Amino acid sequence: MNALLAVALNTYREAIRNRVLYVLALFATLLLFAGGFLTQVSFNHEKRVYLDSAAALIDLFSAFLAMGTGVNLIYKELQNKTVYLILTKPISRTRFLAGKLLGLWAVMWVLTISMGILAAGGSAILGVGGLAALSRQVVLSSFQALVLLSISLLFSSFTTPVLTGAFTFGMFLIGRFVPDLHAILHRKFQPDLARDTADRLLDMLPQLHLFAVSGHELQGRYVSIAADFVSWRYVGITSVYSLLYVLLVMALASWMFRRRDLV
Amino acid sequence: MSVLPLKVENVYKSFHAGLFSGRVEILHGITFSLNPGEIFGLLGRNGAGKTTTLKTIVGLLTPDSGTVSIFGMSPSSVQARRLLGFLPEHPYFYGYLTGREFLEMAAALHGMGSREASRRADELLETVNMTHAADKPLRKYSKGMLQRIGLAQAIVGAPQLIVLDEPLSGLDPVGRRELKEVVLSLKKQGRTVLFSSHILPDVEEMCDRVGIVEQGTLTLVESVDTLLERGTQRTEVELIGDCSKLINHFNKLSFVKRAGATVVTLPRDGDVQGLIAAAIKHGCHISGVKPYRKTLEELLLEAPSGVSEQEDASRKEDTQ
Repeated sequence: MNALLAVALNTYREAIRNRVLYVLALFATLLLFAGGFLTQVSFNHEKRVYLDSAAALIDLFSAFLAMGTGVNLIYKELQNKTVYLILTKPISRTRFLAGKLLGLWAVMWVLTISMGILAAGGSAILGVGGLAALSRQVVLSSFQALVLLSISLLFSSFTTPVLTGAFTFGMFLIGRFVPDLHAILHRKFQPDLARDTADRLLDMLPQLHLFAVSGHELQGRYVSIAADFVSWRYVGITSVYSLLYVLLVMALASWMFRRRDLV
Repeated sequence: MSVLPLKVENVYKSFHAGLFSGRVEILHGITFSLNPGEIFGLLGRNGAGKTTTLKTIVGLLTPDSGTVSIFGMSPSSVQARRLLGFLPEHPYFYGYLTGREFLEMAAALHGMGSREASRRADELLETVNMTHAADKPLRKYSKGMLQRIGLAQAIVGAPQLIVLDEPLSGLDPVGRRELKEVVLSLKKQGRTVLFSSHILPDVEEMCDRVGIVEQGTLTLVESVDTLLERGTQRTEVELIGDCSKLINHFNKLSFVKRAGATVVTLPRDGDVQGLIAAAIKHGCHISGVKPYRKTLEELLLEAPSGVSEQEDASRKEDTQ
């Protein structure tokens, strides 16, 4: 357990001491303020405009940060050959991957919570409320980041950063539009084996639309962060789903990485 | 029967040369083993396969065929790696960590708690003489300082088998001396050390046995003493006092006067012990015995390629 935590702590340190991360965090802060500015020109919809833009920012920034940092997660260790010093110590490759994932997830929590606090501060200044809904969005975004981190880890365990980035971004896009893709399939094709297979394949992909629900219909009702947002129960179930999905992805990543020659 | 610290049996390793090329075989049936408490030097030219051999031994590479066992265990097992320390060639570090933080992390990877890891890091910083720079980021370290931290991380878990890839390259004479002392002290503690090096005088000074890798094959495994013994060319015995009787007794040998002493030169297979015994009997005092021999470097450069008889025999056994 100490070994796993050592890798996690090191990954966390590496990310936190990386200046690029601060530039991105600053950019996110500026955009949050820009969201506040939007409320000045939104005529009676201040609450909806502010909370929607804040939620979208938290959601997208955490997703892009997860993909951006996850792409290099393993590659940098291999490129810099630091992995030679780590994987010749008594730690299994599976634990090494798990440590890397946990370390970066901790960074994601720090970032999304920081963005959540900033958004809550803006909300308090503007007097638009919505703190509970914002905190639920923070949790959802952090778990979405975990799924994306695990996917980039899977790809980076056997391919280059460019391909890892492309594949992970592809998964992100498809994962966000799974219900729409199902709808297109059902509208355009007759029920047959091919359509059923495509349906099942879509179901096997990460259901990332579950983490960004504001402004969408969910089980027949319209969900908005400014009005009728998802409950904590929904957040809990979605988080459990993401943990199970990550376990599967990690099992696959570990299987691939164990077979890899560290040249 | 005690388990050997390292046993490498008939290891083959190849790599893909490119997308449309076939595989290039780097190691062709490497076989050797290490005895407990010895220092073994792996020698060979650049590209001979030394680093690939070491990476296979520490589990970074998986052999295509053949086996590597560390105290009877596969190097991919966590248990084996508890007994293993490794310093790669040109080690790379996390530049944002300080020397102390890095060693604490290495200790934690060996399962130590934070207090124990901190204590162990301090101890090792002292061992490799790096306490003064413990809290500087590693990116500000010189090559020699990084090499010392590299050695410290390799021995953080008090391993029984230490594998060092070119540990002395790029170090100044003082740094080399200090690192050699650390390695020799490991031997005194009963640890087994395997290292590759280009610096043959260091190998001669430190190693009990050496192995030569040529084009992915181990062409020779020999004790350094035997190798040097083989390279002995002549022995000079320096005598003081009246040596006339002795000169008469050994009239076939050449005796010369040099700086008030009589010096007799014996050929490679000359009876040095017999001469000394006779000198004492005839009332001469022995003031010095000086064997002249070739250096390891000269011997290895002269060594013909080809598998040693012993290795060849064991290889035939393996393939049967």
